[in-house]
Amino acid sequence: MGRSFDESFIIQRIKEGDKEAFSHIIDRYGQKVFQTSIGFVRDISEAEDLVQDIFIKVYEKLDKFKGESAFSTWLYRIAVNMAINRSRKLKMRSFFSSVEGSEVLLNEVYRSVGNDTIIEEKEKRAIIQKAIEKLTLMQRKVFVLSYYQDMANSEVAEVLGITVKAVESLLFRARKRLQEQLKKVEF
Amino acid sequence: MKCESFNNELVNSGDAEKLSAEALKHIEKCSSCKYQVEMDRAVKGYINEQKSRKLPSYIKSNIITSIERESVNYFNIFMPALRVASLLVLFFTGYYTAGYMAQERSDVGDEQIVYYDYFTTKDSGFSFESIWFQD
Ligand SMILES: [Zn+2]
Repeated sequence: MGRSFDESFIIQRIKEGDKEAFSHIIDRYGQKVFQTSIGFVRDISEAEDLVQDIFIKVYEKLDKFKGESAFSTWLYRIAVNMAINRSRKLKMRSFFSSVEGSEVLLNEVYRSVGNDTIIEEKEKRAIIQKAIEKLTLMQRKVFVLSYYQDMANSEVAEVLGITVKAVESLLFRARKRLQEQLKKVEF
Repeated sequence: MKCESFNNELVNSGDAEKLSAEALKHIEKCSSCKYQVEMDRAVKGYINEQKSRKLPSYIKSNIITSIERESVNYFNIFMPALRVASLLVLFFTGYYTAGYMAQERSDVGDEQIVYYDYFTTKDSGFSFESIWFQD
């Protein structure tokens, strides 16, 4: 009870113009939002930038928060949507900035693995990252909230507005898909 | 245990550290299923490493600074002054326009007076035409 009371009090203060009170919101949710951001945009500085944009957006939209859901649910919804938009933009940017693309780079890694070359730790990470990126949009949302943010399935369901059963099924398919992607390479 | 059941157990639980005794026994003999477990650990290791990064403290200051800068809304500050100024402009524009028009009315040429009187005075037609034809 204390937590939710504090939170609604803080939100009220912010709405009344106490900008400093917003720092409590950042303290409470900053790290979680950062973890979600990393899950969607692999580059750390991009993720930091994204966190800033997310919190500024949350501040701007705070008047629209009417308390119909938990504040955290509302905030994470904004975070997920903005993170997806950012990852799409970055994908487009990397597509246009690199003719080769990361796909080619990974194929090289797969080839070298086929030739019994030991994969460097860095390459291993790149392969896992690429496999995560191959998940469908919904699988990715569920996967990131569950694995990067350690959310319970019921929380994930609330944030994404789907049933717990749907979350379980999406998680199952996400893990299956990851397995298939990673089968191509021996670690 | 068969490989298929093992795989189902692994994917369903999503945690290679929580496998049943039967599943653990299976991977002792099955290298392909053991590999699935290693892969699962590698993915978890990667994610744990990623999410263990801490959000730098300057991000919080950046956010607060942006919010403070954003809420200094110049439009709101200058709005009352702008309203007064626009009222003054309207008032003086009206005042001078009325003055100018009144002055203009007294400066008009003879032809215009004739024209004006013809249409506005009661028996204008008569007076105008009589003057006109007398000349
Ligand atoms: Zn097996």
